[in-house]
Amino acid sequence: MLSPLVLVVFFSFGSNQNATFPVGALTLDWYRVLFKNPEFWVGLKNSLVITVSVGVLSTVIGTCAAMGITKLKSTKANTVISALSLPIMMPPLVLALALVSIYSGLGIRMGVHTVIMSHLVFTQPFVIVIVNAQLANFNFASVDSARDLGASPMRSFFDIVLPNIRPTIIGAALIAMAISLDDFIITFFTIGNGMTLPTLIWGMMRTSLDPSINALGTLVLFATIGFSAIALRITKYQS
Amino acid sequence: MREAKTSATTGKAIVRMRGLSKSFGDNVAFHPHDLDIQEGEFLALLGPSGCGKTTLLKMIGGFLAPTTGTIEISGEDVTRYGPEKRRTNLVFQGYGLFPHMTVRQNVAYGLKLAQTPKKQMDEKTDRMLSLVHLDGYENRMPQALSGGQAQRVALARALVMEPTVLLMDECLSALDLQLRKEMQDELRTIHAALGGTYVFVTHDQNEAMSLATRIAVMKDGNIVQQGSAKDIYENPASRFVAGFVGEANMIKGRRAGGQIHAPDLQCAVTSDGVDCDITIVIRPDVIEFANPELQYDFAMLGTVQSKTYFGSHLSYDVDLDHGRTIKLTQTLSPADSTPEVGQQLRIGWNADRCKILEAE
Repeated sequence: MLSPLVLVVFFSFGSNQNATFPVGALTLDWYRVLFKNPEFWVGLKNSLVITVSVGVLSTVIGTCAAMGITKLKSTKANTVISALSLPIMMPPLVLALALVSIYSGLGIRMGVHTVIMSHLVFTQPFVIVIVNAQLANFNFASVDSARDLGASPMRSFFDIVLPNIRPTIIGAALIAMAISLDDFIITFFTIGNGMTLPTLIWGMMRTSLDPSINALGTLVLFATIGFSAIALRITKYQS
Repeated sequence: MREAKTSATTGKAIVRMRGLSKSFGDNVAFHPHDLDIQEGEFLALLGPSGCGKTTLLKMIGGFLAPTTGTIEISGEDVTRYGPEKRRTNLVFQGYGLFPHMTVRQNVAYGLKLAQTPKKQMDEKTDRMLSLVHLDGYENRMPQALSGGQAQRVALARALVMEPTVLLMDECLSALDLQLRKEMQDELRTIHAALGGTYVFVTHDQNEAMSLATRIAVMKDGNIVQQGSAKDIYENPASRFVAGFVGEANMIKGRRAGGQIHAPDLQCAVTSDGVDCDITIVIRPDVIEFANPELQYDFAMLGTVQSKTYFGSHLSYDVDLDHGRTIKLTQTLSPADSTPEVGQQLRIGWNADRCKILEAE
């Protein structure tokens, strides 16, 4: 199952023009070609802006939501979580169409900002579920104690709750970022004329089968694996 | 039963509650009450779970907003204040220690929020830690503490704030019996040493009796009786209080024409009052195996059904003819004869040692 991924990495370092064996001599040429392509830099910039924004926003909103949900009774909390998780159960294509019709209905011009909003819809459930699971084990008597000792609600969150769930929050942010960086379908529908790295790959595939696609694919692959690995490590370290 | 130590109360109400009540939807957790807490007193809110005692405590601490009524602390209306704005501190049932802070940081947290100068903060923290015998544990994390130690940290953390009223929510209930007794002694010592007004919630009548200068017995969101441990034990106002505070035998009967009638009663007893159903409440320690040479106001015939040895005293169950069982305890002295199981005998007690309750 992993072999296509391995092939992409493999071809990206081979001098052969066509993605066939033998791959030829070991080379970094395709990376050079890629870095000379101005579209790559546009895509990279957009991807970075989107990934970081989604990471930050979905974590902030998701953590707030999770804090709210822990105050509910467990039956109600489960209903709310299921309702909020609907976007990840829907086929991405349907979600993308729904989002596009909302944006055009509201007359919102599409671009990087609409991609960020769209990504929030399906990354937040992950953050909510992860943070909520961590908060379930959190002893809220310590928050009450902090209030009792003179802390405002805000202060008690930053002094008491946050230090205890920080690794989980970072892990959740990284997972949201990995999902966001990877996404093609929803990005493709909601970005308008812009491009991100995944949509750039798609565009390059239509015009040429230049192995610099493989180079780009390899970069995206390692970025995603990197985020997920760090996220797993942090959340595992926590428990 | 140990008598609670009476610490000096100045007779000034430090907490004044008027018409205070709390409802959750249609469910009334605490019915409207006026209640004063005197400066320097050690008040126990005693009752079974669900009686509203924790609700009342949380309203005093500012964790629950009352549905009606007002709360004044030191003459200031604090009804709408959150816990951070009240000079009360609460020791929580689960302690609520900050898991990512050391013992010292836990205790100093409130002082830090109050922006106490570093030197003063360290001094106060040190003094409090040594008061609760935790010197040497300053740098431990809460996870590395035993239940008793965690309890002391929680107590120190609240006391270091020098609260006008210290509130405690069943804070000893998680400890084993031995440790609980030690902590009770320590709490009494600390209260004597530091003074201050303490309010604690408990369902354990022994704990209430050993610590409190005043007990408020609660049931179904009502304060059903208040008074010293002795008052409540000797003069319970209702069957509930009689049964909840200490052990009690309760015999149902009827008063008619100044005479008490109850099955099994061997003699005529006079009692003033209107004709009604009554309950005779008798503590196990006031009933005696009848000495033939003495006269008793009340006398009954029964058979010893069981006998349990407790070191300082013996506890008996005596079956009466109508299938009821009377509990009685006999303090041991070498001269006493101790009846055996199966023996039939007379038991008796005097009217001034029992309480006659009119039917509720």
